[in-house]
Amino acid sequence: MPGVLVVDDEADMRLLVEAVIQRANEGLKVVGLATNGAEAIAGWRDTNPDMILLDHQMPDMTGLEAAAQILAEQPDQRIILFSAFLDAQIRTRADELGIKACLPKTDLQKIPEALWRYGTG
Amino acid sequence: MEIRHGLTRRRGLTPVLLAGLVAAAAVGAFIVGRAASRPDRADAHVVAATAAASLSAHLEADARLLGSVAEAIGGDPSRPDDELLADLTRLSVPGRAMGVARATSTTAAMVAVTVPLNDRALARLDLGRDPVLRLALDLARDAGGPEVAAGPGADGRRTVIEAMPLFGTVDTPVDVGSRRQSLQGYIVMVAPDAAELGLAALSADADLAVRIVQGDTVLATAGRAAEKRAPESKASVPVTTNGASWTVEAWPTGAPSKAPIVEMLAGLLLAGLVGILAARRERFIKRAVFEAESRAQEVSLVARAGPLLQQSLAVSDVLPVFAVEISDQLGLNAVAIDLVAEDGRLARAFSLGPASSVHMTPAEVVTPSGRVPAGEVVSVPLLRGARSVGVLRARPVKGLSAPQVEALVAVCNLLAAALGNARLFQDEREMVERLRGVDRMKTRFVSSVSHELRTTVTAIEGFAGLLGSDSTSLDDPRRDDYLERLKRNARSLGVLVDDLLDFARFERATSELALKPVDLSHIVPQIVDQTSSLLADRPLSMHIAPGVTALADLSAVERILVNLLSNASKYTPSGSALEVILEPGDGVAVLTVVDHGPGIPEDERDNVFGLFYRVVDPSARATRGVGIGLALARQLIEKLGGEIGISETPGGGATFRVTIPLVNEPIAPAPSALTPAMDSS
Repeated sequence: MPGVLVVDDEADMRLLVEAVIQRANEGLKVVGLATNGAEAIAGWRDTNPDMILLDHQMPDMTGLEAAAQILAEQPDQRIILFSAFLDAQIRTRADELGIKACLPKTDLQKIPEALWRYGTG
Repeated sequence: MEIRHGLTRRRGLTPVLLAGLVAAAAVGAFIVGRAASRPDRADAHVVAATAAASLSAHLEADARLLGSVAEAIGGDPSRPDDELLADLTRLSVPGRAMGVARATSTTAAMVAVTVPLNDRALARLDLGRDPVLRLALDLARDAGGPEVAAGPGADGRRTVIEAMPLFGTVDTPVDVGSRRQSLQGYIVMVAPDAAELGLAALSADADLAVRIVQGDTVLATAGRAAEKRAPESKASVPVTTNGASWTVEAWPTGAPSKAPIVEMLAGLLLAGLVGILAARRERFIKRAVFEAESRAQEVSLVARAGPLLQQSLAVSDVLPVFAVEISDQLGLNAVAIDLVAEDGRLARAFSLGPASSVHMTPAEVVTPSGRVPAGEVVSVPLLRGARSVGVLRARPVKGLSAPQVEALVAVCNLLAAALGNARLFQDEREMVERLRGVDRMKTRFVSSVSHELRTTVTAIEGFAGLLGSDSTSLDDPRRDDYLERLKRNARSLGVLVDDLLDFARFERATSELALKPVDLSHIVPQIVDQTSSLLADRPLSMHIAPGVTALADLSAVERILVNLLSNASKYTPSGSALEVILEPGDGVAVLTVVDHGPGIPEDERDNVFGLFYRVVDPSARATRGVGIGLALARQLIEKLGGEIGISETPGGGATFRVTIPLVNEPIAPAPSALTPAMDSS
């Protein structure tokens, strides 16, 4: 069962993402939760997830900065950027880094589908 | 300053004066000698050699004079006629015609300006029309120096003309090709006539004929038989100065004088006259040289200062370079530049060497004229149009001549123009910086608002969706948790929307406050109660003194307290305790909101009330907020005549203290309008 690491500094969002994934019941499993960039990197090392759902605006570093560190070590790690504010600059940078997809937070219900499409295989 | 065209300042016996005296002595000696004996072929040789020496000396002196005039007009014949005429008038030797010709095509050079005015030999003469003159002009152009040739003048009579080429610049181009390309015209001068050369003196007596010839053409004659054919036995001395290819010829004629004593006296008299003429001419040339040197210095100073002033648009770069340059050029040991500040007073912008300050207003400094004695300070206003932008003060070590003072004024005008440009550039730059700041603020605002709205709306939708579809599978505690989260996000969204609306109608909202007695002791607990969903799990305690009634606006008090509590809940960790205290103070109601969060650094306490301001601490920045709430709170408080301040909570955290005048207390005047926080990042 593919495992997902959920990274978001908002407790409500972590809870919602976890609930949406569980409710979809499509064979995905949340293997870890992180509230900032440093926890995300530590959690990634601990849980070795198949995919990471990564918030962008976080206290210690941005999602792009966290992704850059992770992808530098493991270029084929599957990451989806999940952010409330996605402009062209962020999308371009995400693409350059090798992030698989950018998903706006308003598309909460599409998370399971996006995880299957971009996060596995 | 090096004077080109070989023009140099001379002291003592100069070549011209020497030549004049030699000529005078020779003529005198010859006539005295001749009075005692009949002239013979040897005498003719002496006369020819003397006349040739005099002619060479004249031509050389003329070449220098032409060079100095060329220098003074900057080598530029295209300047307006009246300017050229003024320079010619100042520098010319009285009685000697001189003019400026402009090269109007490759073969034509038209004399445009002459002194004396409309001289019959030069005025409107096309120098290129006569082939001999044309050749001489071309030679002068290629050589970059003076040439002399005989040809028909404007009146058709044969005229010997000396020409100096002009290339549009003070410096002569280095090679023939560029000289041909940049030729602009010529300074021309009618060569000295027989009288000036001293030949006339020789013709006082008819015993000798003297003449100057170019090939078969006779250029000048003196003596009764000089027009006739010369005998084979004549004495001949060649003259090759300035491209001339002439010969001075002399031969004895007629009978000896019957009155040697009279001849002797006449000879001495003539010698004296020639000497006086030579001395006068020398004085003219000296003055011309001095004028030319001064003008050349002015031209040089302006030519150097111009590019220096254009090197930078920063005043701090321009002033030192400029001060050093004029110090070097004019021999100054102190230079100070004061600029007019915004308050209209002079402020020292730069100084080089010791210089006293100005105790005058800019309007009192007048443009100097005339010479400045050594060691005396000269003040020059820096004028841009009629407006003074500053004053330059300078102390010359050896004094300044009147032309040097003119040069100083000229470069000060250039400096004033450069300072004006620098100031405009500075204003532009500041405007661009302000606009960038506004642009950054706008971007930050849009980003914050988008993030806030989307996160909150997503949470509301998400929890509503979970509650709606999974209601049967959810246990009670989980359902309650979802509901609580949903309510909190909805409330948060409400506050955010209120903030945005308040911001949008800010000016109107704050001007529509309806002041009336408000029982704070009664209303504050109610507001806190309504806000409790914002606080989540943060315990809140209240200490409300009874009977505290302020002169306030009910909705304003609500907005203030909600924003302070919202702020406290955003920036304090979950579970952190909050306190709301209301008590009467000195004529004011004191409302205090205490939190135990990370606190606000002292240097940021004033900034947090700026519009769209977000604290620097990254953990705080990640918190929801768009930077409106506190700005609005302060504005409302000030409208109510109160104040707000931040201090540190004992044990850590931030304490916001708000005062609002009690009923019957006078209200302080309304403060300034809402001001955005300018971010320097």
